[in-house]
Amino acid sequence: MDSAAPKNRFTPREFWAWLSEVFDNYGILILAAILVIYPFLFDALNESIIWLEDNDWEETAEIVAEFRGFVPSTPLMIQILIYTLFGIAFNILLGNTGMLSLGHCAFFGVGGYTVGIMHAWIKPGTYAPDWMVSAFKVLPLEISLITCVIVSTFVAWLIGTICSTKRGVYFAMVTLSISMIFYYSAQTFDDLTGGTDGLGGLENMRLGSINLRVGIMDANITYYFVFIVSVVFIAAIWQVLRSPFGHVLRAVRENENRARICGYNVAKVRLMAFTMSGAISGIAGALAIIYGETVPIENIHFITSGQIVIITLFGGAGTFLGPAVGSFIYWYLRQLMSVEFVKYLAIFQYWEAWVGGIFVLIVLFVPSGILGTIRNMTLEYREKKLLNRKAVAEALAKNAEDEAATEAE
Amino acid sequence: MPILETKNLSKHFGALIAVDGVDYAVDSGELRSIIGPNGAGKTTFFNMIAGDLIPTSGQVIFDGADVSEVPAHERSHMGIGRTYQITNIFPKLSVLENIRIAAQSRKMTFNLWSTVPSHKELVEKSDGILERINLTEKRDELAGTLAHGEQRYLEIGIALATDPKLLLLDEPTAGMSPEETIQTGEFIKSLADPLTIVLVEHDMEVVLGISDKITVLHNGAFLAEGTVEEVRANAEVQRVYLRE
Ligand SMILES: Nc1ncnc2c1ncn2[C@@H]1O[C@H](COP(=O)(O)OP(=O)(O)OP(=O)(O)O)[C@@H](O)[C@H]1O
Ligand SMILES: [Mg+2]
Repeated sequence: MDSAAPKNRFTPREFWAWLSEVFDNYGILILAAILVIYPFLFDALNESIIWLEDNDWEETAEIVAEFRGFVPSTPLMIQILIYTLFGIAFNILLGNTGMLSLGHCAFFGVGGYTVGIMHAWIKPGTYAPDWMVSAFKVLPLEISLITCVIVSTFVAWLIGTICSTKRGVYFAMVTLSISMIFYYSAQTFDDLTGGTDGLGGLENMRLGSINLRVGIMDANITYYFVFIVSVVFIAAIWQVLRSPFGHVLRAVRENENRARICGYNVAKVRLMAFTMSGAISGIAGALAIIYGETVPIENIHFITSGQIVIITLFGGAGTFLGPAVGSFIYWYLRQLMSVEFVKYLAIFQYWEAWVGGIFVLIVLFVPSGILGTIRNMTLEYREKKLLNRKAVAEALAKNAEDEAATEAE
Repeated sequence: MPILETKNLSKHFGALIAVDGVDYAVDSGELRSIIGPNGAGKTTFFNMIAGDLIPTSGQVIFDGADVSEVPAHERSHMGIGRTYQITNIFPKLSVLENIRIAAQSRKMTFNLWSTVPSHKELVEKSDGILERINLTEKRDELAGTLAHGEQRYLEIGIALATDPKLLLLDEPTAGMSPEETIQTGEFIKSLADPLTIVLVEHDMEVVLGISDKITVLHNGAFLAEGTVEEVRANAEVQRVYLRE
């Protein structure tokens, strides 16, 4: 071999170490970059299929089309983003304050219905009073979203004052019962909410300030809208959790009595956490109705609460981005099973059972969730490496000493 | 003027009378001990002073104000700090964080926009306390992984971080080795004045060694009170407690 030839820069081991280092430092940035251009990537995939077909590469086109089935579509990514926001908001309570709410569907639903009802009914010839209709030729989404923030904050605060004094199972049961009241109300007042058929007639949702239509017509624009709103609120939650208040939440989770004796008004802290969590869940609920342009009643049904518990535990309640991982896995698996896998095995049409089974496995075998487990492994690995390094350094120092000693003799 | 006073303070648990009409007063800067056999009501008495329990009848007066029904967290802000008979810390938080969260309670609860390390004074104060309780080297370890004795000290540190005027220590040497116990006694002595300390303790060597005054509780009621010598000489106390 020519010794002058440039040597490979990395051995495979070094390469993996380098890769994990890069991912550690820039992982979030890389992910964010992918998310930012995601709709273009997916469009490119679609276009490549058309291009291949046009150029008589039928077979290749078929293969690529087959592959596309395994790539999350832009609408699916919208769903994943929304449930990421929802899960991270939910995790303010579960992972950080140690409160398991089984009633978060109430906020998710209320947020959706607030926006839905405003867009469905603030129109000529409906329930809305004339002054309201004449104020907006077309109700801008900004107005309904701000209303949604106010309404869901208020509802969260109200429910919070009722349940945040409860603990453990009682808290879970009270939140569950209250959310059932919301569900049955949505069902009962079907003139307003559309009842079990869902609330339709939302076909004109636009951002008034930049005169941009969002909704089913354009997945990419909806994607970016949802992306921006989600990122803003996720960043806000991230800041809150690292703030002094975030530390108080963890103290309350770890030892409520100790936190109280330290001087914290635990009831107020829990109420504050609950209100924040509920309010942001409401915003997630509002985002969730935009692409579909309907409010399905399932959004306010207990199923949704169950989903968000599963999503959060999938990814790991002890980590900030756990719900993001959970949301991706949940929706991606669901999509794969119900659309792709069923082509080969009919049994996959019962995707709920499969997801449930996987959930059981995760709870049994990786109770800290996927991201939680990865993080624990990384920490362990680092500690080991550090200890190794220390041992080597000590051995070297000892060697040097011994040598010095023999030389002196 | 006494910093702490109880007037005819009682606590009933159903038919059980755990604390029975206790009148008690502590002056600022004193180091006082309460002794009494198991079940005498010492912990229950502490619980009513710190606010863990609301008295059945009677009053707790702290710093001139009746605090009998004030919630525990407010009493903490008024200057009552305590430790528990069974170690009560944040086991899954780091040692530093245990202290820092206590110190933070004096400054802010609902601060959402800053970060904790940016509050330098919190970190400095916590480090100072870690120095005093001799845990500086373990500051980044999880509190739950500390040795028992170290956890006892950590809990005292947590209480100190809330800048109390009155410190209630419920059997701080419980489960410690004889050497640790002696050390702890000295440590507690070093905390007293200006801090007022009330100590519940079973180890008579510690109690007799450091207390200004000793109070004996028996079956929830006040039995005797006095200096070390007086209590030693009291025949009644000898009968119920000091039978050595
Ligand atoms: N929450 C409670 N509910 C019912 N009974 C209680 C409660 N707390 C304490 N007791 C009872 O009150 C009595 C006094 O208990 P306390 O813990 O105050 O005694 P103590 O003097 O601290 O004893 P020890 O030396 O064992 O710590 C005991 O008989 C105990 O069983
Ligand atoms: Mg006791």
